[in-house]
Amino acid sequence: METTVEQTGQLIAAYLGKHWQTPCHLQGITQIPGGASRQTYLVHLLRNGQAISVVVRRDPPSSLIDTERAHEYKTYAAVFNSGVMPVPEPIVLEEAPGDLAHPFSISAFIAAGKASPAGLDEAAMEPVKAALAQRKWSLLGDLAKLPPDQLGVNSFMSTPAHPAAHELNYWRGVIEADALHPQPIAAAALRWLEKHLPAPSGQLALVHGDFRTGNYLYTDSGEITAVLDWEMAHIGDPLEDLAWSLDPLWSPDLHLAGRLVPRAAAISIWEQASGITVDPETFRWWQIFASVKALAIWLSSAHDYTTGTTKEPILAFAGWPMIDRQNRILLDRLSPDSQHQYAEALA
Amino acid sequence: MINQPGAQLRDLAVRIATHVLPDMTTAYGQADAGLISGLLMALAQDFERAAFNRMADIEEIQQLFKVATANSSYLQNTQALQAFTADTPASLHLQDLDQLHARGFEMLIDLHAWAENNNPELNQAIWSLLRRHSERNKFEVAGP
Repeated sequence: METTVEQTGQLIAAYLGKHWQTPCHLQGITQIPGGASRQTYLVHLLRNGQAISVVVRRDPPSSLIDTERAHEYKTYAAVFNSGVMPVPEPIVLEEAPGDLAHPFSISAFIAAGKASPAGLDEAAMEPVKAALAQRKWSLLGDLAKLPPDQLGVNSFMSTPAHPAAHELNYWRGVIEADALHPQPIAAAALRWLEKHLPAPSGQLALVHGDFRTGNYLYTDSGEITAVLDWEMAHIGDPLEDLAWSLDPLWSPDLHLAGRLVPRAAAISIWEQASGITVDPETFRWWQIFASVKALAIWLSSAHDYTTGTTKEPILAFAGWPMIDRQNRILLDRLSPDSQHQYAEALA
Repeated sequence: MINQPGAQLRDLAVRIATHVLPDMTTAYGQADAGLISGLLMALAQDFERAAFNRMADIEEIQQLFKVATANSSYLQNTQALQAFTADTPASLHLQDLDQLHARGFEMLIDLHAWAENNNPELNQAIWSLLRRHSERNKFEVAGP
């Protein structure tokens, strides 16, 4: 029988009481929307009489992205310890399903900032958009120049010999396994990616894997207080994250990167921070790859919603309108007679 | 029989957005209601056009296969392409339309792979077909 949100809160308080070996009482719990890969709760507690808030992420029966929780938890810990980006402090990972019926992780709650993509379009944000963009792509550039072994992530992540080929193979497999109907646009894009595969750049970094609007907390003054959702993190080419962050899907204004600044400005900030000059040919490959990877995720979520055990609306939302939008972005990028409505022509 | 089912679905979507969502007491409930409303809106759009669009795609693919098999040197699976040009769905149920549509798309993928390297004109024609397919099936739904 499924537990209520309140019962879940009581179970979390009891678990943390045991974990911290100190009395822990539930003060309040709310389920946070938008967590497509985990059920996410904000839990307010009294720990030995002191108020404390934590975020609990619990595995659902099915999720948008098939990931390993330990992998994500260790990534959070590595990034938190390095200080390269602000992330919530990880507190505990529980892989046994016992206490909450499914495995879960707990991290510190960061009160400052919001993730809302639409919030970026509010008039009050206009004066700080440039500063926020500066912060956003500087952080990503900082991550790009940090060797994975310095972060320690190579102890639990594999290092691909050919990052582009590795990623392409993985996401091709997802499309082949999960598409519910033949996908001629995806098929054409996959052929294009295979044909134009770039040679390994030799630049290896921790790739966040989903660095985009909605996955970081920002303040009204243009600060970034946390970068979230590291479940797709891996060692790879840092251009992958840059291209993903610029996909037209993340901005209703098609000429802006992540609703903030023109794409060229975002690239320039990233180049300055990372010390890497973006090669347009190679970057075009990663941009098309980003759209194919996103399409793979949308196809996978449609598959899970249709055939899986969960009927979370977010899976269907990702599966229906997003497939349509991503297909149109790929058409725009690849069709010989493209008017480049969704993205600038590159190379 | 329900008259104008697409419009009815759209009205339900609006009802959820304007009457149910504001009464939800948690952010999670509001987000859920918003997503369900958006999904009903998408269903309303697809309900109205689904059969027409599947048939429009099938007829375009059939026309393209006719031209391709008559004018190009594409030899792979030509008989299947020609057979498809005369095919009709087993019924007007969406399941049957989807089955024929999927078969057409599968053959189109193979033909496209060949055209990319051998026939720029046909390649362009396939991209144009895919663009019209995308425009026909476009959703007008706000993001989450």
